[in-house]
Amino acid sequence: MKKEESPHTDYSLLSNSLSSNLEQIQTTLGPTPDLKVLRYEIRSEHLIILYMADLVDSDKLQNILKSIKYIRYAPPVDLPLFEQMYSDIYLIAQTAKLSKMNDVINHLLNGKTIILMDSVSEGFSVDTYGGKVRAIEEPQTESLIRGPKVSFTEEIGVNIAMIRRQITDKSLKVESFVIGERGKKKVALLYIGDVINPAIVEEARHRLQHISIDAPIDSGIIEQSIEDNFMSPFPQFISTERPDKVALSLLQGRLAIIPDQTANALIAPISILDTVQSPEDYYERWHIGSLLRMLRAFAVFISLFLPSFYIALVSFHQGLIPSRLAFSIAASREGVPFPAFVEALMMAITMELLREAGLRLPKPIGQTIGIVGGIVIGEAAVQAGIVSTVMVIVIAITAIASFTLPVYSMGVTYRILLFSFIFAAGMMGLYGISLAFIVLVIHIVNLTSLGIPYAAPLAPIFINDWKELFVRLPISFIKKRPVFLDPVDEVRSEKEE
Amino acid sequence: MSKVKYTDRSISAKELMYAVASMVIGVGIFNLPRYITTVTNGIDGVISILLMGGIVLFFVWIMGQFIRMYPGKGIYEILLAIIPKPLAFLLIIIYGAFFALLAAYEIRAIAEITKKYLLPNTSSDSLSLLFLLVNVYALFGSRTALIRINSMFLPVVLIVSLLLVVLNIRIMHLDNFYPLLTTDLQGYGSGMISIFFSFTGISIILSYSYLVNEPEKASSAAVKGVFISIIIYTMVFVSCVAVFSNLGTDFLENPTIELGKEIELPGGFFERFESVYFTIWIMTIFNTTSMSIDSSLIVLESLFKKAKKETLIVILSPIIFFVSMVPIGMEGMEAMGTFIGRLSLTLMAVVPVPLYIIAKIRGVKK
Repeated sequence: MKKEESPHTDYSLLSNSLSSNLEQIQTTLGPTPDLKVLRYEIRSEHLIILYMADLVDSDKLQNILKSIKYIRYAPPVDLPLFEQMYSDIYLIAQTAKLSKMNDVINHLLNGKTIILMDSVSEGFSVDTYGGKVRAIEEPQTESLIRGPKVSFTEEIGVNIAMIRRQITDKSLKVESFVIGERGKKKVALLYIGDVINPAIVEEARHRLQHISIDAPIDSGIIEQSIEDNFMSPFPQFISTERPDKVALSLLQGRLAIIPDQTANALIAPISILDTVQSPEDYYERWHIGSLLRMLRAFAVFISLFLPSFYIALVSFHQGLIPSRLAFSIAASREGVPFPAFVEALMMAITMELLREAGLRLPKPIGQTIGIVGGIVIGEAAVQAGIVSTVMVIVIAITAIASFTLPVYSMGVTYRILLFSFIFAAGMMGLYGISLAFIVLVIHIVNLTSLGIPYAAPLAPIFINDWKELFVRLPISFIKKRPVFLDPVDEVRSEKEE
Repeated sequence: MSKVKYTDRSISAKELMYAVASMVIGVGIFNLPRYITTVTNGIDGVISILLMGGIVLFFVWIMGQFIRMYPGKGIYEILLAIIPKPLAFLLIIIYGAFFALLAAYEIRAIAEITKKYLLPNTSSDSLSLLFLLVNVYALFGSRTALIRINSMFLPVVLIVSLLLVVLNIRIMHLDNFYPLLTTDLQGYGSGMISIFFSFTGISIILSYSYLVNEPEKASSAAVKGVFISIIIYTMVFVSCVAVFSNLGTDFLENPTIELGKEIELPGGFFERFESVYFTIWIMTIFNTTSMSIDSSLIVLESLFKKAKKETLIVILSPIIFFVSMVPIGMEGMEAMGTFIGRLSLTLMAVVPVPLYIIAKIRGVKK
């Protein structure tokens, strides 16, 4: 393929002349108000300092200017000025020598300060990235009663530091990638070197290196560019805003991908059962943890099967319902003109509408929608004889169950699947549900996350991992890291009791 | 480059065990107690089950030995290594046809039983077509995944079977076991032959032989798999006789399913447990069917090495569907079942033991 000549692919080297360099930078970027140029003259040598306003941290910039001022008034030394400046600034910030025009512009756009000098065909950049960033706040979407009250911010350095504070291990490895054709962004790959299976890291590295997108605006775009199967409704990465969750996952032998400018980290490889697990299960005592985990697993079943099961019983297998219950269901369905299938579909769609509307509205109004939707519509629909009371109960329980999942995107997946189960039950009753379930299982068993089977501790079976599958046994029982991740260091603690 | 241990396309001995157990437990269990009570008195049929089970265990053990002798080799390659090519070709054709036939039978059976217990107004053609399509979807996925599905379904099926027995304890009468040991030898013999159908499909050990990554454990794993099914069969037979008596079982068409009808769950959510039981049982029948079709596919793949798997599936599945529609009514089904049972018995008698002896005499050719 022939590469077209464009400013983006200008690999020309820096020239000796300061003015021509500056001119080239200015023409490449075009007339822009945020490109600041400071001119200095030290020991009769001209130098310029370039930076993009608002992308740089003013404190860091001040430090550099201070050290330049110091050089200006300090007694001259033997070193050339360029080298002296470089070694002085080298001590106070991250620096890099540059010789290509393209690198200069890239560094400039990434919030670095560039220092160029006349009659030197080389420049260097100083990391002054900063500007206004959000403070560390409490997690918004994954709130826990017990556990650290910090969540990721958009700042990659801050995010990595948060993980480092949790895991102060020398083998915590951070690999950096630059992704994006136009919006070049840093993406960090985190893992504990002597715990995780190297094949998993290799796979992730390979996929990250081969992303080809314009700009990874959010972690979600990276997730979709590297996932195993884009046709699957199941998320193959867990997206989280909790540093503690990432730390726990790293210790289990997983890896995390933290892109810059997004408040969500990605965790992989995962299995479908990880989506019913919350970090709180480990922070609370094991009875509570186990109970909550089983409750969530049960909630998955409710959110998938309850409406379809109800439809199957009411429309096809009335004989299965005990007579007393059958009477009350029949009484509630009296006057309802639709078959149970249509009724369920209507209510499920209404539920989705309410949820979506509640999400988009500003917070104070959002709650009103809940009341209007839940009470007014539900009650009115029953009064009007459009849906039966039992159906309202069924759909309400289903919706509540789908909200218990700690991974938001998984709850959405189950709600989508709910519709297919409703269709299956509407067509073939229990037989349809059973076949739909089998199809679902086939799909899950075939699915992989970074090459690791998605149904892992169940199929292929790893009994040892079941200790923290549906129940969470006491910490002292769980001596090994998840076997299905095939970690290098299998044992969590070497100490014997 | 290092690899995650189990992500290569192979199966462990444990997975072979699940596959064998799931393969053996299929639709056969529905009629099993009736077949036995027809020819035996009281609880005597247990002896038939255990004897036949013992023989099957022996066959299975020998087939496991083949995996050990020819690790990583498919059934056709094993046959070619032992006997002349024309004979191997003939055997493998019969082998493939047998599995296609078994799949057709399972598909038809599930449609008939669904029609009887769940959806009386739906035509059995559409029921079986839908079931076949689900199988085809599974076949399009990876073969390892197909085998691994067993480990998800088998525990559920075992638990439900256990429930079926345990929940019936209240209405079991031990008097129904008597008279003991009054069956004549012929009765035990025909009992054994008639339950052999419930063990058809153990030959999948040979189809999946090339996938097993722990050849030395294959025999014991396969034996364990069959052992699970023998326990289930014995449990179900004993509870059928205990609940319905020998004569009563004989009169019921699908005694095992009827066993569910007697159950009353406390709390009163379901009245007829048998529908739920059957719904869950669809899973294990799915396993049996998908692995049967897959075994046929393996045969086709070894004969037509250049053809794509997808093409073979598209060619094979309509044939299986049409074959499944051939038998007329329940009598036709019974005849088909009997034929498959006999064919399987013949294959069992002809293939493992003599081949094993020949292989031992000629020595393993690398």
